[in-house]
Parts: sequence; structure tokens; C-alpha cells
Amino acid sequence: MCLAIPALVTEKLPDDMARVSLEGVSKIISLALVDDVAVGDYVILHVGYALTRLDAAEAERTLALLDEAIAAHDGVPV
Amino acid sequence: MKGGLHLEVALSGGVVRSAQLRSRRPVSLCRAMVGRPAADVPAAVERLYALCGRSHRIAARFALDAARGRTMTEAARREAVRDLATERVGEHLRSTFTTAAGLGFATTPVEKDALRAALIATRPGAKGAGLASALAVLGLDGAPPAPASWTMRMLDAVGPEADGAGPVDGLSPADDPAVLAGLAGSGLAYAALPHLPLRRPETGPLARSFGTAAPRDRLAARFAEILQAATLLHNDAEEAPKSWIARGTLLDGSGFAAVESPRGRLYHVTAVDTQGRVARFVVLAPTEWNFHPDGPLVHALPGLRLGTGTAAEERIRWLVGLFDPCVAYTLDLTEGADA
Repeated sequence: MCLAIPALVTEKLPDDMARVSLEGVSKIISLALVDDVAVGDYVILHVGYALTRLDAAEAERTLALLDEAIAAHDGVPV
Repeated sequence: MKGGLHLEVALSGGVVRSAQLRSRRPVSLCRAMVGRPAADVPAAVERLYALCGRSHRIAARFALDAARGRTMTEAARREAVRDLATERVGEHLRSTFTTAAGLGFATTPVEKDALRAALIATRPGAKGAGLASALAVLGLDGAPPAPASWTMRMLDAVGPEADGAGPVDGLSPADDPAVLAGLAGSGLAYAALPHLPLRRPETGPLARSFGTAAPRDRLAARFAEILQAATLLHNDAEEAPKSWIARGTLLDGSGFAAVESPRGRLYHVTAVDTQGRVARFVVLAPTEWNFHPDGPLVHALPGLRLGTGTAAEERIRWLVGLFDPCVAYTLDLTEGADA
């Protein structure tokens, strides 16, 4: 389903790693595939790797859309 | 977010005896598009399905246009083909790197820089600038890759050249009418468990190349597609097969589009009401074919001689990675007594 989720970068770590907050949960991820990411940025996250950097407004729009999609999904068992 | 794939593999004597796949993929997320203004949906699906967002945007756009009786201009087709080719290069590289890195494959700092440069060159709007030189550093310049190159080391890590594997049953554009009939008749239920009579088709690079099912061939097909897509970008999308994008209407007036996304053929079916809002929206993604509980991955595993312990787990993870799921997966490997 090609899903990837925005996560807030809370701390940069050595070796291209970072700590992010994802749905309130702290996770360690890799920044090996992106550049110029700073604390406070959002990144699109997939299987432990940041794929792209997002600004806060775009991240909020994406998270709101995901919430709507999950609500729609929960109403339709397949 | 909840959801994903869970693979259970039972080994005995170093040979796979059984494999089962359970899925909790959230296939009905696309219902969130229903009720939205049609004009807003291409951007919304690009945001929702971020991994292959451009493919989803293109499929949605052409399906919605078809539903509203609009034609596809040649300029729009060529722009879409460029976007598909760009996304294909980036996703193939990213997926290959992340699978390999998870299995301890060593990528040098120079290669990492080249990989990152290639991914930057394939972002939306980047137009592929600097892509060719970055790919060359990785051994993807069209010439046979050097033995020490990232490309050849990766191929060697996956396995030997020939292991007697047979040809794959690939989903092709010729299957579109049957797939669309399934989506027209059963909608999300078909999208969750797609099927074709007497077949277990897979989709993606190997299916598009009609190769054999050897893991090395799977990776070679992916690398070949990177080169083909990069060449296509260089030639301004003149050589892209028409089958990369198909679109039209179903008997009930719904619009559809089928596009060749990085992981395989992606279908969107949609209807638009008289107020211009989406009344129906169904997405069938490549992962639903490749990771079907009775599909090609599950049937590729039994009988494989993989060894034991870590070696067996690595080979399974390579194979899963080469089938390229677009969601996370977990693996439960159990080993019984020697046969």
C-alpha cells in the first residue's frame, strides 16, 4: 500500500542516525538517504529510513489525511 | 499504524517445508478519497501513498479524467512517463540499499554519497540532474559492472547465476481486462485478494522482463530497469512503451487507470458524481499480488534449500526484499529436525 509516515526529528545521533517521535513513540532511525535534516524537521519514514524531509505544514496535512484514511479503513473490514 | 505482513517459514534439514503469509494491509484506506472534490484527489493520494506517490498521483489523475470523459494528451502522457521513470529509479535504488543494509551488506562512503546523489536526482522536480554520474559510481553505467562495483557485489551477495529456477508468471497489460472486471465486480474485496483463474501472477521488474525466478535474476531485472529508466529520462521519454499507462472507462462508466509503478502494475478505479466529487475509489497495489497469501512468494519458498540458522534467514530476507513489499513485514522462522 506504499505507506510511509511523517515523524518529527527530536535528536540527531552519530553515523547518520536520529531519534524521531512517531505517533508519540520515540524511535531510532537512519538518515543515510536524506540530506540537510535538522532537529525539528519532519521526515517521511519507511522501514527505519527517512525518505524525504517535510516542512511542518506538509507533515500536518499528511498526518491529518492518514487519520482520515484510518478512520475510513476502520469502518470497512476487508 | 497497524498493519503489515507476517511470514512464517518452517525449515527441516535446511529445506523449506512450508510457508504461510498473513496480511493486515490496510487496503481500504483509499475510501478516504470518497466525497472529496475530484480535483484534490491526485495530490491527496500522492501524500497518502508516499512510497510510490507519483505512480498513485498519475493513476488517480488519469482514472479521474477517464471517469469525467476527458482525454489524455500526448504531452500529459510523456510527462507522466518521465515521472514514472524517475520514481522507478529512486525506489529501486532505495529498496535495494535498505534490504541489503539490513543484511549487513557493506556500502562504502563513496557509494553512499553516490546513492544519496541519485536519490536526490530522482526527487519530484529534480529532473534527473546528476543521475548518470551517480549511477556510474555504483556500477550502473550500461557496461558490464566491474567485479568490485556495488552492483556486482550486490548480485554476488544474492546468489549464483543459475539455479534451475523456472520462468515467472508475470501480470501483464494483457491481463488488464480480467483484473478490471474483478475490480468492477467486487471492488475492495478483489483489491484485497486479487486473483486470476489457474494462476498466481507476480508483478514488478522480473515480471516485466519475463525472466526466471532465480533471486539473482530478480535483482538483475531491477538493475536493468534502473538503466532503462535512466536512459528513457535521458531520451526525454520517447521510447517508453505505451503499456506503462493504460486508461479508459468500464461498462458502468467508472474510470480506470493502470500504470507501471516501481513494484508493478498499479490499478485505480473511480467514479465521479455530478457535483464533481469522488463517488467511488478503489486501489489495487502490486503488493497485493506479490504477497497474496496464496501467491508467488509463498509458493516460491517450499523446497528451497537454504541451509540453517542465520544463513537461511538471510536468504529468506533477500527473497522477500526482492519481491519488494511496500509495507513492513515480520518473519518467524522455525527449524525442525533434519529430514
